[in-house]
Amino acid sequence: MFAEINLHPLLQQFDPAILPIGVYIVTPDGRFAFCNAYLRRLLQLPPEGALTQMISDFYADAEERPRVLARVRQAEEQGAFFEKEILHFKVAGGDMFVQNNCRSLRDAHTQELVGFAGSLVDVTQEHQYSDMNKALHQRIAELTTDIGRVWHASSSMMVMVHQALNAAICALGPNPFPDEGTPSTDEIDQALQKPAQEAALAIENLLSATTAEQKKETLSEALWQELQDQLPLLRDFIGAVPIPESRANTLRVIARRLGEICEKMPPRKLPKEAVKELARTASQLERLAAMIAALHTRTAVIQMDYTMRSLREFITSDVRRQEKPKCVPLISLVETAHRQLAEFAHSSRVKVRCENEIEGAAVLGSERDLLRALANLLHNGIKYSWHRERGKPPWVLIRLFREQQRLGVAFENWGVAISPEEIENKLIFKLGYRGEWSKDRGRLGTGIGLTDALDVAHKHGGTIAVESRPARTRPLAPENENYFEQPFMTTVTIFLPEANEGEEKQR
Amino acid sequence: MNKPRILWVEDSAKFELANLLGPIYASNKYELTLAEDATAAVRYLQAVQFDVVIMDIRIPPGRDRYWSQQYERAGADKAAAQLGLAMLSWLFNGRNNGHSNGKLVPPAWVRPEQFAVFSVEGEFEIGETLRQLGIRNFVEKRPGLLDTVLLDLINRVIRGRNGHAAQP
Repeated sequence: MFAEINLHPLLQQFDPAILPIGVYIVTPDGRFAFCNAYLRRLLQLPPEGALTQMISDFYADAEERPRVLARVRQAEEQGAFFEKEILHFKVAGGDMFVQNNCRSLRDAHTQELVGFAGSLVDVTQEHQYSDMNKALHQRIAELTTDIGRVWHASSSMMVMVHQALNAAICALGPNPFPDEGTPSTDEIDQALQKPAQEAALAIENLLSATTAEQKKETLSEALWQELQDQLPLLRDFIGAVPIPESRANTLRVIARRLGEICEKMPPRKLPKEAVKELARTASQLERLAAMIAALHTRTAVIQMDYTMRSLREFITSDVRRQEKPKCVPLISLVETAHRQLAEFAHSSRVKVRCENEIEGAAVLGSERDLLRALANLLHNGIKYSWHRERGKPPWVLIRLFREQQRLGVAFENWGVAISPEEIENKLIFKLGYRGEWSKDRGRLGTGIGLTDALDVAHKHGGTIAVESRPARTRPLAPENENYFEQPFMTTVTIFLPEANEGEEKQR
Repeated sequence: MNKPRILWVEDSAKFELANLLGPIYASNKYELTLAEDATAAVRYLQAVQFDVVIMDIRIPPGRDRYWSQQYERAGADKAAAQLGLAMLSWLFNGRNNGHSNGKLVPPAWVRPEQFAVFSVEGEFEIGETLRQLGIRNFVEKRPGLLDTVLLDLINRVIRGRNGHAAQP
């Protein structure tokens, strides 16, 4: 009532010219009979006076107006208006997109068409955003299709590489390491000692058994010198090659070279047994070094395979058909994640143990996403575990527990540190971030796993907590520059709401 | 005689690219130092005068605040940070573009002919920038390379420094 009283004088003198949208009336052939100030500004028409322009002058495509009028009539026949149609206009040579609402005007007595009335709103910017949005969606669709194909091809390739490496490892046997996993640098150094010393001894024996005359007759002075030069490195490869990861390959290169030099030695001109022994020891050293490279590469392939799968799942998680939430026993998700990563754990020689304090407890949600989140956390636990001193195998402990009506799955490992700054500032959850101390010992990673796991936890009403502290009873002080290089006990816990009985049915 | 000192700035040197170190150690010709991030690289460059520096383009920042901030500024796509290029720019243009403040003063001994780039970026991505910096030696990482690629690159830089023309 209040509004009516106050607006009454205004309504009596209402003038559509003041409306903040373009309002027009045109004759059936398109001449402007009325055009308000807003529309005059929009179409860059004279601010006052009669207009000579036709509305059809502004259509970017001259053929479009008859089609629009046909649709206006069609709407009219159905008792509706022509609404929210986007028209492409050209104004002063520039593109403009307007939203048009239009209706026919008919003589009240004869029902003859006398014109059209309508409104125009400039939506050029929205239209451009909409086009960009469509293009972006198209690109995402292409990329997600593409990544599916690339992933498929890469998975097959990973299988091929893995099998070829298995064959090579068998052929290069016997394997001196205790099991099929990747040996530690200490084990590698130890295994390489004997063949390296034998090769050095074989060089020394050949050099001492060969006369100056024989040397001159068989190989160049440079090659004899090269044999001599290899001795210090073979004798003390640990001292000569400070980067442990490069020792096996350095010895492989030397062994190959020794083999090549042996092949250049003319038959029957040098002590036969000494040459034979050098060729044999060089071959043994090369074989072992090649096996070590193959073992490392096989572990890298297994690790990368999971990373690729996880990346694909992450990218396509929003475009996949959404599965209906269901109640899943938490332990079964953990067991499946463990099975998925058993090969990676084995090749990394990490023991995974599980302690379940919540028999039968379930969570409600997407099984696929929850499984991926748990597997990501377990993958990190395995990847960032260290080989312990005195030959103890590295381990990951998975603990399932209940805390304040939530379920928790804690992944505890002994190894790489996460600094308090990275935890407090949530850096470790940032997409693409790799822990400051996580890149030691050649770990492959993309920095997606923890981001994805947190995202899944949030979507399920849960969260992730991280704790990392020095593992030793007498740790280095935080001021010590090697503080973060000591082993840390890191626990990453995903908390999820426990599903109540019947919750799945209710949903 | 002292061996030429080589610095390789590469975060994958101990794992995916560890095979490339074998020929260098086996050659017994060079004294190799490895820097796995920008912070470590700067520390070495300021402390030691190297004969050859081989630089990767996609390197992590390490602990130094300056490089961490550069890395963070790249947003989600950390590859776009190209800290290796930022470091080369600092080394050769640092005195002119405001980088040479505090402890981040570029060492005086660096010359473009001592540097080579070994990275996954292609010629079309970084070639022009490297030419502008005066760096002529560049090898793109790809699967078909021999395990002597790094040794060959070092030899090429040494030859170039000694007056021989650099090979493409």
